[in-house]
Amino acid sequence: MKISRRHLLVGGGTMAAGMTLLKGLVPDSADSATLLDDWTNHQEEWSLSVCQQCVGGCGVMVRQMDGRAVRIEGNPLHPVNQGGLCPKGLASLQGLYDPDRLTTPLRAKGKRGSGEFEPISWKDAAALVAGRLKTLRQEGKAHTALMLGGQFRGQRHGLFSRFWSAYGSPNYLRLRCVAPDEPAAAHAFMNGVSSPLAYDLAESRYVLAFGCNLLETGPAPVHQAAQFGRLRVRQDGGAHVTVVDPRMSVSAAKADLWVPVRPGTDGVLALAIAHVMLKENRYDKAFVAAHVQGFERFRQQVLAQYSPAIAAQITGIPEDTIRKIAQDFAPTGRPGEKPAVALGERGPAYSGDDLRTRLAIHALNALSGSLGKAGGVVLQTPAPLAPWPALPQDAPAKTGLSHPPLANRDMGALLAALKAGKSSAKGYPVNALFLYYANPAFSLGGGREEWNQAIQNIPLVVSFSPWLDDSARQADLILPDAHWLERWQDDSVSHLPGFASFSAAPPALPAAGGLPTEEFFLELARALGGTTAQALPWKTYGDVLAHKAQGLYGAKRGAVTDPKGPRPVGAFGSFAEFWKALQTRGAWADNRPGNPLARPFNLSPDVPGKEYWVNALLAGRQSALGAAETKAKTNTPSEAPGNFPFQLVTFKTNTRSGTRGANQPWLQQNASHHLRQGWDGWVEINPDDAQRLDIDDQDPVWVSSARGKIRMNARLYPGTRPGVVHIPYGPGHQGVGRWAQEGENPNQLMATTFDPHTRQPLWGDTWVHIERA
Amino acid sequence: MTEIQKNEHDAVLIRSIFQTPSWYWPAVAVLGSLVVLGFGAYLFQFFLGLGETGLNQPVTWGFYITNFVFFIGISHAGTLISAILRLSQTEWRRPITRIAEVITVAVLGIGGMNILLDLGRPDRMLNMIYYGRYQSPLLWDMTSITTYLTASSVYLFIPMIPDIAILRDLCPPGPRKVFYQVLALGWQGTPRQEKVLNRATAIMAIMVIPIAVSVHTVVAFVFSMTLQPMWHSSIFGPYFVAGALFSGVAMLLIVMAILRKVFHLEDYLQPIHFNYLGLLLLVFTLFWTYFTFAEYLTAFYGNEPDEMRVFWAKWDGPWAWGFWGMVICNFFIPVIILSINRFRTITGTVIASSTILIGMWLERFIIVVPTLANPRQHRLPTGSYWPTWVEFSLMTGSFALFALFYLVFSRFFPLVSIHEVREGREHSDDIALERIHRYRIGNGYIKE
Amino acid sequence: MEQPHGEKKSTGHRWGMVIDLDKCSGCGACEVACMVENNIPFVEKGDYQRSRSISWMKVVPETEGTFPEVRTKFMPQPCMQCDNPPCTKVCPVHATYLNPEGIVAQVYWRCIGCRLCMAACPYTVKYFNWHNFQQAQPAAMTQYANPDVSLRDKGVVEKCTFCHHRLMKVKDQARLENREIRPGEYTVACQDNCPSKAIFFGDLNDPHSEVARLADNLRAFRLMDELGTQPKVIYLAERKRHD
Repeated sequence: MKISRRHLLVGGGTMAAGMTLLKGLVPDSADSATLLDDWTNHQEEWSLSVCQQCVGGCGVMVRQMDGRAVRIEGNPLHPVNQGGLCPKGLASLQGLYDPDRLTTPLRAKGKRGSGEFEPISWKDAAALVAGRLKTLRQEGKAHTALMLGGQFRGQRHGLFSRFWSAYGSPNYLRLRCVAPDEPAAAHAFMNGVSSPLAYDLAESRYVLAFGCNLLETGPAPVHQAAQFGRLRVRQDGGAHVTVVDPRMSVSAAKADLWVPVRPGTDGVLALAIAHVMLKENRYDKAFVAAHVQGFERFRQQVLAQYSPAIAAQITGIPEDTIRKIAQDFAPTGRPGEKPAVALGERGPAYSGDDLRTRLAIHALNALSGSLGKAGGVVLQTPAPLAPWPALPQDAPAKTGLSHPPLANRDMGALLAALKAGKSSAKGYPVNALFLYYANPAFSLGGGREEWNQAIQNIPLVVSFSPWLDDSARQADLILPDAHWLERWQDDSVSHLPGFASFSAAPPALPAAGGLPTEEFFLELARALGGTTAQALPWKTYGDVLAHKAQGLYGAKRGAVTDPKGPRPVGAFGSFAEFWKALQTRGAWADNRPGNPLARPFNLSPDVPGKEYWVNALLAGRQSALGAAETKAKTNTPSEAPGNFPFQLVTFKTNTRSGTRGANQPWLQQNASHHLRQGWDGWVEINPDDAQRLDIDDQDPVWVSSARGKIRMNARLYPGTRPGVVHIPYGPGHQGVGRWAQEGENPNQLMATTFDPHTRQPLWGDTWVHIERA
Repeated sequence: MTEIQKNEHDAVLIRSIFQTPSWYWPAVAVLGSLVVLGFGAYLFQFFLGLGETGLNQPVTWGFYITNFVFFIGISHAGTLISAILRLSQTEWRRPITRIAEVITVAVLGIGGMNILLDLGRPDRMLNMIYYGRYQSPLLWDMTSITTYLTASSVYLFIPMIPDIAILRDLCPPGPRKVFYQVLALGWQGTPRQEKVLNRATAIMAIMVIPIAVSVHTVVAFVFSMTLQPMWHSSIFGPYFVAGALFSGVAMLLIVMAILRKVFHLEDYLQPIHFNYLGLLLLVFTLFWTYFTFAEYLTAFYGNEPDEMRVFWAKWDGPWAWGFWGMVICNFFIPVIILSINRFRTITGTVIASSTILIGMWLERFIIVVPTLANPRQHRLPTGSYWPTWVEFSLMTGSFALFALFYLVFSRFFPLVSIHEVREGREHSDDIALERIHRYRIGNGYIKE
Repeated sequence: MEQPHGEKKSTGHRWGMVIDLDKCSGCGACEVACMVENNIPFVEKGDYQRSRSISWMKVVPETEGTFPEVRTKFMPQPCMQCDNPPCTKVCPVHATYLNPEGIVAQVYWRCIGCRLCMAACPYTVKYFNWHNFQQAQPAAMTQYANPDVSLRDKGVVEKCTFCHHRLMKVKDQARLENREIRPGEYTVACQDNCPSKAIFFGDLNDPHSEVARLADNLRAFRLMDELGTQPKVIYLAERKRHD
């Protein structure tokens, strides 16, 4: 067919008519232009922050498209993580965009704990809190306001303690199982240090980790993993890594040697190692002579009491293994030899005698002479942040602060004080309770009931949690904090080998409706007026950070990370320039190892307790062992519930990020890598024990203790010491969100006992019974 | 026209076409509702995703693929058996060829359907044509099965033309008569037409055999072309073909027994048919056992770790029920029944056939699932599989559809070839005698 | 004759990955990094327990022995990006194929979901969308979807693509600047976020690249090398431990 002009015209006309009819279905040209614009002109932006999914302080970069955060990854310039990021950090966008996150203040409706809330405005909420605090102050009851803080980071801690000091309450307490920015009590006793010690693992010759799950849940897991990566590929063949842990953790699996010690006997093992070193003259004599006090007493007692034969009985580790560890750990005196380190941070605590166990472990560092050496135990020079200005205090503040605090880092004492209220001699009832990053109803041994009972008489309970968590459900007022990507975020990591770092970043994203709690407190101070307002003169938390950073600039120390290499602080023309660079590059770092030996190392420090600590440790463990043996003897399948033959040791995997990270399905799904078990909690049992109890892998079982009973699936894991069972900590929230409630919280089983000296909860002292459900 | 009515014998063959038996509609209703249930289950799966089944990672194939292999296997019953018997001029074949051929056409469609049920994106199945690439065994399957379906439909139709002509002549005027008129293609039974018909049937019979063999061979190739343990086996093609013939004959026997009862075909399907087919079935039983033995012994003797994981999973692992069920159903029971003359009755062969059908289904299942559950990647947890109601409904629906197809077919066409039976009645004595004379010793040399 | 793992296969780029199992700390960051980058939906508990979760990168544990002689090894397993992939051969619709730079591609919108490639893959690293997992995510959570990566509907197979969208971006940038891709310019998400820096990625055809160098290491091995699949994910074995 020939196509004529006429055909074309007619065809065109028909098409035009058709197009007109289709109009409405098809976007017109203007719409298309907008669409095209949407498709092509994305606003891509990168912003920095510091990850708050744990205490590690990793620098992160957030990629934003049109205001949505679409990716989070490690900041390659950041000195802590050098680009790496762990599963928790990577999943944090699920927390940011969690449909269950609270973004408006809520007031309880009806009875406390009924779970019914109504939204109120930020203005009303602020007025309510300010009004109550003002009244308390006027009534001379400023000290009865109590704020419990948890595992949060940055200068907020200083800000809050300043607020409460200016207001007049001595009861600003922090509940943390690990306080990475404070030295362990044992280190303070032995070295007299005031900042935390650090371990230069990457350059070490032998790493002897007691319980410390370095690669998963150590104080800075990403940094430690990076160090592990380096120590493995070192030219000299790398360090020997030994992990002492009743459970084969991921760290133990990756170690050269796993020492499955009986729970709670790490200290005995450490002193048995010391025994071999002393007996075989394998310790660093020069170092001991120059820097160590109390050596003779220590030597005599250890040689007298801690023979490998005795230790083998108590710890369950063969004598030969103990000797081998000691011989490998001990220095040989070869020139240029790298030091060996012994560490136990976050490890054997919670089980047995916390303080003495840590003293025993740390003693090994003195014997191997590893203190203050590259590759050994080091101390960083703290970042020279500007000090807080002088604190103005008026009369009511002084009166309030004259009262003794209800407790001092001791949850046991606090619980008792809260329950006793007026009735105890030095006690007083609490009139207002503030919970920030704290979820005691979940994290306390004994669990919800214990906590709910303790707070039932407090007239005002305020939670700052952005999730309706276990404790917030019992609150009268919830003032949701912003997500950490929506607020100024800073961190000054202080437990890193040899260097100090400080990061500060403005909000990466606009707040979804929550208010950063530190901003709320600045606001509150302004509302309270007077000296409280004077004590907190900053407009925003960003101003607080700028104030602190001025110290760094003034000290002219360290450098700001930069793609072209670290830029020394001295190279900046003005503070403004420095402050800008800090915010856009991620971190200031100062590679200046401090000396952990400001005073001689004391092997026989004056610690609480009547007996010499070396003697007391053995006596305590021996009696515990006797009790354990009695319990283990009743370990038969037919036994009636009420006997508790298995020792329970809880653990955390690297996908558990506290209450605020509990509702992230990616983390639930990837809960453990050694078993590839997701979503639920589980209990790890040695396959032989399981066989005796007729339990198969993935069978549901009841785990019961004197306190409670939970049902979960059994996992047969040969990396479990017979007679011990392990339950991961993290699942089983009541509240928080739709995904956080899966599984069971082992705290329901836990005894609430605390170490008398370090105030750490002794979570290892729980015995359980297992039976097939 | 009147010839048929006069002959009481053959009247029974068309009675079901012109008179509805009392059980007919209730049976259609029951089967229809099962099909509808299956369809409903499919819609459920279609909209919510294959996650509604019990399939998972790594057991990505389950009931649907098992049924696919099973039904395609059954299809060998028909056309292949009928073609072989026709070509070898086996006299007793006459009343059973049609029954067998109908099975083929029905189950081929259902088998093919099962593969569509298994697709994650059935809406894109035409991509098989748009983007189809012949490197993939699935394309071989598609080609082979559609060819076989076409060929066996033609092969079913051609010998049926004289019967359709009979129906055309019997049918009162109306749409139905037109239907038969069209399909009869003007058959008048002239010698020329007879000659053409016989030649066409013979050609189709020859063609259909290699196609049928290819069908089950390429079905096996879907598995054996992968590297997976206990799939990657050169014996798989013939093994599947042997299994197909085995299950096909078993299905044929069961269908014959049912049709004999419900359509009163006792005169046509006699114990001798069951006896002969029973013997054939015994041969196939032994054939299948031989193949199975060879397959498993090779795997066991080679002792390759990945193969052995699958082997033990079948032997005494989580799939042992299937493996030993298969051995009992496919070997012990049929051999006992079929090798003893006294047991090779209609009832006996039907019992043996039923266990064989179960056994062969298990065989397909035990080939598909344990290998997937124990992939070479042994570090991953072993897979498990249990179907949900969706798969059960669709499996029931598949069998119901098969029965329904038969019921509908019986309403339109005679289940036993009138033409062939009549031909047999009229000429078989002569044909048989002539054949025997040809090779009987003492008759002298007859030049072909 | 056994060829070294870094063997030159073709001219042009040939992307490969080296995973040092000695450095790997088994943390699983690679899994989540991949999920964030590639819009991999989480699956709810029910589907998880039925083994339907999708994890393009998977840290696979292997525990051997009995107490106290126990050993657990971790092996991160992405798609092995075979040079001779068993999965691409069997695809009936050309939805999975080996691209010229050695990446085994998956065309989501063409895949018919027959799962033959999953059955054929000896590594079990192809994943199927059993449900519309993406749609099951709460609306709020769709906000973090990476706009560079398409979302997958139910019924299709998906797998690790070596973050192919990043290669596209890098190529565009290079073309814009009228230059070749620089070494180290194209990185993948698991590598970027690995805390212990155990994952290396680059051009195996470039003799100066780190991956090519590491691939010739004596510790280098490939998973199921005996199958002749010629994977381009190369592992460095854990060193013998001190006794």
